Amino acid sequence: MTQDKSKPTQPEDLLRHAEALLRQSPTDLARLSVEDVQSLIDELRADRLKLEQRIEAQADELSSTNRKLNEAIDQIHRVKQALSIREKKLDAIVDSAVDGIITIDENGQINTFNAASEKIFGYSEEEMLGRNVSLLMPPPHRDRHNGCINRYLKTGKSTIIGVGREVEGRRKDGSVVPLQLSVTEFTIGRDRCFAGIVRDLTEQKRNEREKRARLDELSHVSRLCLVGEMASGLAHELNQPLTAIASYLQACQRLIDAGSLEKLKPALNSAERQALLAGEIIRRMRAFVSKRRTTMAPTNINALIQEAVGLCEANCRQNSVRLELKLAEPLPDVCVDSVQIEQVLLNLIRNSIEAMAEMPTDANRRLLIETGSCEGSRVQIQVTLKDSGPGLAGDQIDHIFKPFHTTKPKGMGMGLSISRSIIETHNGRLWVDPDAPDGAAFHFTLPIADGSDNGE
Amino acid sequence: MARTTVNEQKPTVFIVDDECAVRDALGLLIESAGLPAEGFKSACAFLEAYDPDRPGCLLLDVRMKGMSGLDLQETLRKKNVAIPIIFITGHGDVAISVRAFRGGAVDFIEKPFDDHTILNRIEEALARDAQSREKHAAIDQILRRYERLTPREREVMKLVIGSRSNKQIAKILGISHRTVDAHRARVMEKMGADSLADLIAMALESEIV
Repeated sequence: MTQDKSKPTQPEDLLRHAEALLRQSPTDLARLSVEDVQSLIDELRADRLKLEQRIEAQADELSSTNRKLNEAIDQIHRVKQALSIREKKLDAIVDSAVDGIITIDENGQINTFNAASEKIFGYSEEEMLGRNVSLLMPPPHRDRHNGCINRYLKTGKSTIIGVGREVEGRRKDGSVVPLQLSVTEFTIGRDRCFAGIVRDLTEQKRNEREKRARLDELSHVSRLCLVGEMASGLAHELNQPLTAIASYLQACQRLIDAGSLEKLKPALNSAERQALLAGEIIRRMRAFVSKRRTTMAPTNINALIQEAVGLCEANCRQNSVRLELKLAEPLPDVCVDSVQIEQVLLNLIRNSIEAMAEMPTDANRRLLIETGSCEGSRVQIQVTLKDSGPGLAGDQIDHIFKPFHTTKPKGMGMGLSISRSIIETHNGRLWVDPDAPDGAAFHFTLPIADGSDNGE
Repeated sequence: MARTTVNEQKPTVFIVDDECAVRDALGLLIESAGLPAEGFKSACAFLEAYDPDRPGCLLLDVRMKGMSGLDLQETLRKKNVAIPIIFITGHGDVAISVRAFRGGAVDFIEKPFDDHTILNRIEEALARDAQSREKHAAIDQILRRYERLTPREREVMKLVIGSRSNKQIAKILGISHRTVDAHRARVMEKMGADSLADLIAMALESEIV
């Protein structure tokens, strides 16, 4: 039998083989030996066993796959839940954030507008979603904004991304609100998006303004006191030209009486010059004490020093103090309120004069005022006042800048404290040199005025 | 009695003030009143240039850079220079005025001043200077004359001033009455005294006795 030689190994083949056998004629069947049938039965049995085993294995595999699938489904459920919690958390954070959070796409359309943004701008989230963010900007910036985004997308250059800065926003009612804005960029898929975090600076600005106003008020009072303390010196200063004028005019009358008219003109010229000088002293004093708003303007510090020296020259003379100026020329301008800086100078000058006034009369009383520029993170002007007085004891240095600290019976003790506040509001620094070899040395710095500060 | 002033120069008003305009204006005013004036910008400049024999008065600013007016007054006093000082000041400073007056200042006037006031004060000061110079000149003359007396004549003069009679003097000195008479006449002549009272006045003025 040919089939015997090629025994089918697969159960299907075996089955087909058995069917083929059964389809044979009974004669043929009868010719089959018992062994053949037995062998076939054995084979079939074995096949069945194999089949059963395979089915079992497949069932196992199926149930394992099923288990894995169930696990995966559980995992997905968990992730979904976590994601939803996360989303809720994020929503809660975005919505409860104190700062306004606004996200936009690359066309400037708003995707996110949180509760704080609603509060800052007065628009609701529904009103703003899908609208262009330029709606939140006052006119000059509004029209430029899309251009800015496009430029950034093309060139990668931005004036704002990664650097927070102060900008102005526009509320729904049209009013302008000062804001601190920082912008970050992110991508979702292939879309570039921008997130802006805005903080309302209205309160902070008001606080700054109030602080500034208080300092203005205080420095004005302090200037009045200062001029009060300098009154005798100023009176002397005024008395000089007045004396000269009176004497010139009296002489003129006598010259007229005596008919010596040729001497009259120079005498009258001199009297006129003295009258103008007296006027200048009064102008200087009035400018110094006038109640006024702080006005910052580019100023030459050397000119300011000359002005201050003009106000206290008489005081120096009264106390036999020799005033020396070592002013570096030319110096770049500083952007300051000139009256307040003059006040700082006068406070420091008077401080030195008073320190030296207690020295013996034959002592060397010298006050040197020096200017120069110093390199730091940016160029600054440094002013130094060095006197030959008794200097400051180590423990005094810690106290002199505190308000109401004074060693003088007449002083209010506000001069140095106010001076430091003034210099600090000008972004400068005022300090005393603890290691000055003899006398005291005060220094202050002021940043120079440059065009970049005024830029947008 | 024939007394002559040593110095016949016209008195000068010396102005010491570190304020140029004040110095200039005061100078002009004083010159317009017919008096010579000289200005100095500091106490030191004045000390350097000033000749104590020159008559005049000093208009001195109290507060000046460097040596102050009071310092200059002190220096002059130590040098026995008796020029009358009119202090000028911008401050009615009591403490300074007291110091100035103690130091022998003639006057103290505040800036700005009325021309009549200052010219009157200057006139007074100049009169005082002239008087004091005259007095000093007279004393110098008395002392010079006294120098010319012999020791015996000086003895006689002292006794005469002590109101001793010629007789008493003769007895004290152990010389004759006539000799005393002769000495006494020579003393009167050499000293230029017209009378005993005159001689006594001279002695008191020059503090000979």
